Amino acid sequence: MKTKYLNVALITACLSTTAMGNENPWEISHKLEAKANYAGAAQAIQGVLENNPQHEYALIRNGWLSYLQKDYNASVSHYEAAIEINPKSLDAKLGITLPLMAQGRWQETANYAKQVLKVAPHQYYADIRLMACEEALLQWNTLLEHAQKTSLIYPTDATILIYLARAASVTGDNKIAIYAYKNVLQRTPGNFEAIRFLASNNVNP
Amino acid sequence: MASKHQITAASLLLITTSIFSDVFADNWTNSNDIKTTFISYQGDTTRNNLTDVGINHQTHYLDKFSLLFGYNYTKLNTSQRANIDSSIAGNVDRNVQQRQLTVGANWFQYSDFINGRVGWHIKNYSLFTPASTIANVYNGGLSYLNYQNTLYLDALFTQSQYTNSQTSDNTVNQANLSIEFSPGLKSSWLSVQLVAIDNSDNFLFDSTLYSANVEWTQYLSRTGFPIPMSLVIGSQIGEQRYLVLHRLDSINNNPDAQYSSNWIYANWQINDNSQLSLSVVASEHQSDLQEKYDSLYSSILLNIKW
Repeated sequence: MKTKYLNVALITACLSTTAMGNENPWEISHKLEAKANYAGAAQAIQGVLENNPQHEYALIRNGWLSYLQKDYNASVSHYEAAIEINPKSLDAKLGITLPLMAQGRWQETANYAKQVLKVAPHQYYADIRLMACEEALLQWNTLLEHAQKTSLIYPTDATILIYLARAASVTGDNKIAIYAYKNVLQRTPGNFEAIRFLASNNVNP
Repeated sequence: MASKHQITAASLLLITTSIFSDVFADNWTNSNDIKTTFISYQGDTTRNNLTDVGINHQTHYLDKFSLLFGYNYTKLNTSQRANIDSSIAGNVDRNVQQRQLTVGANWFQYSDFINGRVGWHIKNYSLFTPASTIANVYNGGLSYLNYQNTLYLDALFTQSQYTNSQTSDNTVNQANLSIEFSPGLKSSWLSVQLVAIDNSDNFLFDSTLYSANVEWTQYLSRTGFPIPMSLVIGSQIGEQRYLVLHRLDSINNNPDAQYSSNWIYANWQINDNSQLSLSVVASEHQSDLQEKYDSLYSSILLNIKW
């Protein structure tokens, strides 16, 4: 009986050792990312890219993990490589907008966001990031029109309403700005920007 | 009847053109500056007024590089007893005319290590009359803008080579060091520019001149008239001669010293693709004969993007 238990324990130990030794690099990478160890998460899948530099998912994931480490140039390079492999990839085109925005490369970001919107009209992140570009490039009339159209598609979204309010305020359309900021406060009560704008215009939230 | 090959070639050409124009339109942007300037001189025994018209064209490739081409025509109306240094002004006519050609390039790199964009800049100005070259000006430098868009630094070096029979090989070296930062929420900017100007053979002026330009920019978050989008007020401390003002692509080849200057600019955003700027600059000058006089500079600039 003792021998039987010993055998079971040995097999279990062997099995668990094998499982640890062969633990999926993706699993390790995701676990480390969850612990905010982004460098470790990227390192975990380095072997995959060494074996296959054209591994699309590994490139996109490295792009994301580099972005989280604020290594924006590396992030852009990984996403560009992924786009080269699969020019249809909306994941990579949306992904690359993040490091580009972090570097203030608004024209390039806008181009990628437009490419996404061309094949996936009203893709939420592409719309939002394009609005960020329009604001940075001082394209206030374009932003006003864009935010108005998009707020009809995502009526519960506060971010789009903030862009709408900002563009309306800059272009001098206070009625729209007040309406939009009031709606922002319904969705995100306590929004500092909306409270400040309404107070400066003597409007009760 | 068109052959199959011709049709295929035509289709290919159409597809290629369409893809190329798509990419071209997305990746390249252009802008033009159309500018006119009028300067009136008060108390100057030689100069009455100056008119300048110019156009600049800039082509940008994404956020990576840009090219600049510019042309300016300047006419200086002088008084009867004009005694302008012909070496500088080009000719001793009552109406001194000069042209300026500007060619420049900017290249940008992004460095995560220093958390910002590094710009490499080169520019060449040729100042000439129909008869002769007045000056060749070479400029190069580096700039830095942080990713948060709250700090800007630049260091520029300029060499102006004035060429003519009387003042041959007169070289004026200029070094600029600028720091600009936004003290709060990017709605205001403070800019300090230090300028050192040196005339290597001490012919045009005696010693190295030091000056500082201090500027405050306030964004008013508005577009359209009458409220401007931004207002700039600035002041010059110290003495300047033969200053090359890079921001305006302007070469001040007036040989007299400028020892005080105050300015105000207003910018209006007409629509998403065009801006209008008005600027007024009041300056005090002194000639080598100790004559003091004032100048009032006013300028209109229209910027159009396409």
